[in-house]
Amino acid sequence: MKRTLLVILLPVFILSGCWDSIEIQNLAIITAAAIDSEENHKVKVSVQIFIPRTITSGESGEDPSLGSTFVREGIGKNLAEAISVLQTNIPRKLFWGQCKIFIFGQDLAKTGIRKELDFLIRHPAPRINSNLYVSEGKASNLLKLIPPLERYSGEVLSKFSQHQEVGVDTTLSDISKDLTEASQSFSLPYIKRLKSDEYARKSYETIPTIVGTAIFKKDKMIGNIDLEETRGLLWLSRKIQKSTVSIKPEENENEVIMMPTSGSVRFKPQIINNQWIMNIQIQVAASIIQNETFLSLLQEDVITKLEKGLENKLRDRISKTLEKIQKEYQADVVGFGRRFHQKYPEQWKKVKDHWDEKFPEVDVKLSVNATIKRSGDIGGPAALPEEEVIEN
Amino acid sequence: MIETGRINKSQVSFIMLPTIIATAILSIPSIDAKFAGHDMWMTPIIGSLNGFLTVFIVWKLHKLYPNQTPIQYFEKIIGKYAGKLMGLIFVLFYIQVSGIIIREYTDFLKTEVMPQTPGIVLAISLLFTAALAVRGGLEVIARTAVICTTLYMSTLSVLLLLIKDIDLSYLLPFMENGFIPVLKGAFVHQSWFSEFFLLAFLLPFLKNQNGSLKAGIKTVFLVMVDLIIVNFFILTILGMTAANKFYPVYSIIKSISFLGFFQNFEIAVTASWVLGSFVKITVFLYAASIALAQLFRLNNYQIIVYPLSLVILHFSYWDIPRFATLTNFIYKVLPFYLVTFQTIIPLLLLIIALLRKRWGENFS
Repeated sequence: MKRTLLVILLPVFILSGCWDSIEIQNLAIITAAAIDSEENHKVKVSVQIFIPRTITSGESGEDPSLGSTFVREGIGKNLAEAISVLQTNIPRKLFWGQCKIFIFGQDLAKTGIRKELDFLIRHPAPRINSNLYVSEGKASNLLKLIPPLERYSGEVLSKFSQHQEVGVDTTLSDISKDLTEASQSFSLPYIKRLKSDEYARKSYETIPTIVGTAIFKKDKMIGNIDLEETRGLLWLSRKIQKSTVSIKPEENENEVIMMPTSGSVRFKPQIINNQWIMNIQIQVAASIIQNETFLSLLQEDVITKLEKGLENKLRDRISKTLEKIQKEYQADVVGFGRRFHQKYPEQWKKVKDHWDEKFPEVDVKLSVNATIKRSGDIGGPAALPEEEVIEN
Repeated sequence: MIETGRINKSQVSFIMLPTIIATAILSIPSIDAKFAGHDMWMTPIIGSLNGFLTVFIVWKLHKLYPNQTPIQYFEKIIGKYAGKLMGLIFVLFYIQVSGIIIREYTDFLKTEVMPQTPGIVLAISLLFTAALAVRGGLEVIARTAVICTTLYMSTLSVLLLLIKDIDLSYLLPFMENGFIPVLKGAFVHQSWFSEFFLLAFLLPFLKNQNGSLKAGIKTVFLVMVDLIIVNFFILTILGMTAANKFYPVYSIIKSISFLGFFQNFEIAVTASWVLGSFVKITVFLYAASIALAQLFRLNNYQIIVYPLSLVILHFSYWDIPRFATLTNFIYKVLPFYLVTFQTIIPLLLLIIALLRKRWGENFS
């Protein structure tokens, strides 16, 4: 009796889970996905699928310019339908577990991406730490590019966001947090195809690059800022920008160029007599990387002057960005709302519902404190006779 | 004696840890975020008070009626018929709660890991394994619990890889809407802590009775610390979006990406959660079997384990047609239901027992 029971029940244990088992050769591994809007309110999804054969083939003579991925598309009334249409064109089962890049076309971003976000957050497969982007023009075109250095364009984008820190690094989880909580705004990197005019390469053998930031209010894209302004935004999101700042010292027509190396940003919200103030204190250390002038950089008062110059320049840069997002877009992509909410929960309750009106009225007090720590391998200007160096 | 196996105090801790945590980390955090918001990290502290209380009640009852399970001493406390009735109610209670646990577990696996696999297969495989362990007796349960709990708790350490991603500012604003939301969140927690009443079925079989209270209190403390850690990571990583997720813990484990190659931990963690749920369901099944056997004065409880498992399987589907029903049940009914049976009724019985002791047995 016991044995019969065992025989009947044994298959249950051997089989459990086999409904979901998929062999790797039956999976189509998606490396990046693009979502565009089509005519008649339809949505087009394009996925970049990895061809495993190409990395192992090596000497088998396959043309490397074909790339290691291919792109398939599906169109439907909504994202879910588009994906099921897409599945009908791919013999293997779509696998989303490795897809950490989602690109939205600009047209779709302008009409709102909430419906698509719901699918991405609800579906168990896409990861909440996936990066999102907005592309100039059609997003699907960027997937079709074949990068000369990386294996596929999705990899290019994730390297830009995570290692180079060129643009804002916004994940699915960040957006979901921003739209659930106070600010009701977020920003995504704005990407574009890099024009390459190498003679030996075809026009599609290039990469997508980050050219700025798309500003979203609620779920709609309301505009974009360029790379220069993005740097200001990145300072405010506590990413120290490794991009050059050039200062023209007084009575000099040439510039000293420096690069921030480390720093910190502190936010101190304040409410005085119903006036909302955000104090932002930035500490930055920089080093000089090029000196076009004849100034000797061993003089402390020269350096202090340069530090002042750097402070002013950074302040200008950041306030220009703030001006734009506060006055022009009125979108709290820097998270002021959350900081006020944390410090002044009582006052926050009153403005919570019309924060987008209150946000432009917030008075920003920006103070920058810069120190120039190093000047590279040499002190004075290079390749110049001793007498011509200005030593004051 | 219906159970001849004897266990020691540390094994009791190993059994009880996943008995509380296994479903607590699946079901509570999102409810907690809904109620307590930015203060959700401290709700387990207040919730655990009920754990300490329940352990104390169980220990006190155990001192009054040593070597007896609740089913036996109910009859002594409130008389033969009322005691039998109460015992029957407890058996039914444990059967239903076990059914709900099975359902929470299968729903989790089905949504997150194995969407194609029929839930019933997952439920049967877990229940059958648990039934085998229960038939093996308490010593078998204790020994498997030592292994399973160790694995279960060790995978939770992957949360440490998330330290670089946490945003402490989510701990603010502190007590935005006063203390009431924290209490609401804590109320859900305390009902899970009331499951410490299951100790009543383990204490009679301890090798050495000394220090059993201390062991129980220590376990409650460990569970509390664990739930605080889990809630803390959820809050500082997901912020208020945790309220909208069914399984926030799973979601943050999925987002682990450390140094670019420590990734995709969720499957290893899910596998260990199966072990945790196994220990939990084993304890519940054991309690239900022992209780039922003693209620009908059977000589051994092993023969009713399989039939009981089948009944529990039914309870995991009966009247739970869809996930929304289960979620609503967990969030509106279960907190009251669990605490009534596992803390309030035992407390009343303890009071009656103490009064009886004081005034002698003569008035019954």
